[in-house]
Amino acid sequence: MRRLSIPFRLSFWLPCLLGFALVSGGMERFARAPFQGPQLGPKLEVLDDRWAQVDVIFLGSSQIANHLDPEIFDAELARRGHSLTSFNLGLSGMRPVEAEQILRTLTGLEPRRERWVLIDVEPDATRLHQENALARRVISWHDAAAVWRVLGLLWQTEELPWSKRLERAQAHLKAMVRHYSGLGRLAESPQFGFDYYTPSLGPAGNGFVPMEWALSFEPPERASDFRSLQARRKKLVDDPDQLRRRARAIVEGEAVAGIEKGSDVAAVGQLMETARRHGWKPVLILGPRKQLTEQVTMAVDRGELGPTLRFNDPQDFPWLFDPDLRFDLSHLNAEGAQRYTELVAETFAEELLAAP
Amino acid sequence: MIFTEFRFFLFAAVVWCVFWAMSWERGRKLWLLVASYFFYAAWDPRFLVLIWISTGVDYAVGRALAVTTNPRHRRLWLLLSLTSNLGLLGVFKYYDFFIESAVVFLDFLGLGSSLSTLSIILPVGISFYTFQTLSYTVDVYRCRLEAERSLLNLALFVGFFPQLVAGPIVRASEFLPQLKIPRRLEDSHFRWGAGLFAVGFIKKAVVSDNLAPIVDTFFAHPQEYPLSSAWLVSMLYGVQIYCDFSGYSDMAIGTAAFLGYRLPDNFYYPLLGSSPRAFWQRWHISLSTWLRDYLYIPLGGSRGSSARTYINLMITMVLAGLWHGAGWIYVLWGGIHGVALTLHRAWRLNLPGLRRRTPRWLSFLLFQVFLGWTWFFFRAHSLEEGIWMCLHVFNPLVWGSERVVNPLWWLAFLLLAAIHFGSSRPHLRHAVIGWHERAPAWQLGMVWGAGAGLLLPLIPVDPQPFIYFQF
Repeated sequence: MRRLSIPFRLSFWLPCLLGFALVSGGMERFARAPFQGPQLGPKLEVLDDRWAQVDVIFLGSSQIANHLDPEIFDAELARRGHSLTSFNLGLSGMRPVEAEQILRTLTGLEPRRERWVLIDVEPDATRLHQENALARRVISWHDAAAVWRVLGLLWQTEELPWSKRLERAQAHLKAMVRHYSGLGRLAESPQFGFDYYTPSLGPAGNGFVPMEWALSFEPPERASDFRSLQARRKKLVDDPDQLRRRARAIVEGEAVAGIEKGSDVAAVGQLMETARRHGWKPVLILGPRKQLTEQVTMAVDRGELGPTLRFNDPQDFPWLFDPDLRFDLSHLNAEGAQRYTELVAETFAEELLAAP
Repeated sequence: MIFTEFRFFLFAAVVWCVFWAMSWERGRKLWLLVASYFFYAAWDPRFLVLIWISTGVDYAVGRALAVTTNPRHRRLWLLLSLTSNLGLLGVFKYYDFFIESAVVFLDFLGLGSSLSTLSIILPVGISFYTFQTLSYTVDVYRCRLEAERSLLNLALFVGFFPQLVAGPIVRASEFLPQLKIPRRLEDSHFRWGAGLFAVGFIKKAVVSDNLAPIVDTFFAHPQEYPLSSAWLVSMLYGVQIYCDFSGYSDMAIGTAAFLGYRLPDNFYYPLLGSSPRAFWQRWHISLSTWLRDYLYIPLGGSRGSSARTYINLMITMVLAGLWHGAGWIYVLWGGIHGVALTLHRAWRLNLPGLRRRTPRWLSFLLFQVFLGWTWFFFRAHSLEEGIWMCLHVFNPLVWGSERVVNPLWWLAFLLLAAIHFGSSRPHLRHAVIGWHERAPAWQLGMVWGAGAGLLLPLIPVDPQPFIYFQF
């Protein structure tokens, strides 16, 4: 029975945990990119290389990844006398807590200095799509601090019934267990959901992925969810009349149901606060998708979220909702993205860089 | 519920704790039986009825054989057991196959037929537990084993969860005596069982499950790959199926050891064999010895003429193929191995001089090519595809070039082969096992923890089902 005595168990389990922590920590340190998945890993690797030169980071969802071209942005700023270098760190479906975790990761990079971060994140902060729950990118951001943040937000998400909140909490906790155990991160078939998405560095290698280019990307056969998303998008592009009708409806004010939750304001607020605490200069962008950001927009109006560049009102920027510049209801096409990037750069230069 | 899933660990932990917490031996066995039925019901509770029928019939037949001395009556009792067990197996596993074959044959003769299939779901593990129960009645019939008085013991022998769904095929003479001796925690070989379970887990979850996507992708469109990729995948498939099945067996033996029971070994480095005979002596040992003792030897074995021996060998191997799956592809696969065993036997007995002069590396290489060739057949989706691949494995011109398997997998294959070869060396093997048995707890803990940290990232998060479950 000696083998099952408490001292024996302790003398086994403590070194066991230590051995596990040492090896896992070493792998996390030396093999980080594959752990972050084919979406986030390559972007962070390139950013790591260019870190000394980069002054502005674009961070957020497809509103960033598919809309802001660093090349055009930098050129536009240069034209206005500001020599800044930007990099697009946006990824489809990025929500505030993920963005916050990425910011915390970047804070450790040298050399340290004050940088701008332009943020436009996905609404419904605590949501985790089932098809993405096992994606390496998702696992990689689920550290204890991020999950604690999500659980706090879930507590505040009063629109959701408790059963739904518990379901979401369980999914995030599972992802945290996978994060710390390292389960499956280097396996041959670890790709799920986000992992299948279009190569994230884009054609120019600066992180900007035009929607048309994304559409030309053929996902692997296993990626059934992304394949069906691509198919839906192709169908929409093939039917420009329908796209036109719906875009016009948005411009003319027809209400479109959103997925925004009350806790999104808190989530974005915390993200901005974290960015400031870590020495960033955060700027919130409200991109050209009116239907999803009503509560955040109201918080911006109340001045709760800090510096904000607003492009989500069709009355102010009707051309951003012009069907000829739209790829679909949420995204601009390549031409739209180019003009939008110029607009963002112009507004950024005038409202923030020129400010005392 | 499969051995590599989290819920199995939870299940096994509960079973283990309750089992050793009880001091009442009968209660322990009852608990194990309930747990075993729960384990099986996690797949499909309906098919528990088949296990109960098998157990009930064989218990009754065993008791009847125990009190009957009349040879004719004994034969009838045995016949009852054989027909009921093989009948269930025949209906649930082979009915559709035989009907489809009959329809094709009748169509070929121009007779047409209105026979229809039943599309029955194959109950998991039926091939395994049927052979187990048959070993019981045949051994009792042959008076090599005393009929079991306790229905609980017999039911646990049939339903014991570690080996219920994919073996090893345990003989009644190996397991029933263990049920008569109370188990003691001190004798449970916990450390040995944990080591074996870990090895099996690594084989299945780290090696086999990582090879599965490569193999599956290739066999989805084999004709679009070049011949070099085809051979690479064939070799990888050999590793995959070996690691999958032997991994399951290791985990089953390890799980049983936690509970103080010993199950027979099922594999002994079969891929290092240099002849068909050596391969079948080391591959799925519990099946090959079962077939030897309950089929090959009763058919006459090697006691008759050479021709008769070869026929016995062929019958045994064709049925071994059929055991693996209800399809002509498996029958032919078994037949091919039968021919190989026959030729090898003829060569071994008739050309002993040449055999002695043949270098071992040459026979090893030739056998590996043969084995790789048969894997094409075994894994193919259809008979036509299997035949096409087997006919063209030396002709690069007919294969495609649209896709290619990353040649780095050759490196992975060589690495795995080196590990496999290294672990087969007795001194190394004994040194590792000896260290694991005697190492202080802190060293053991450190190695287990570091190993988990190193290997967990290599385990796919979507566990693949065991290949042999389909058999």
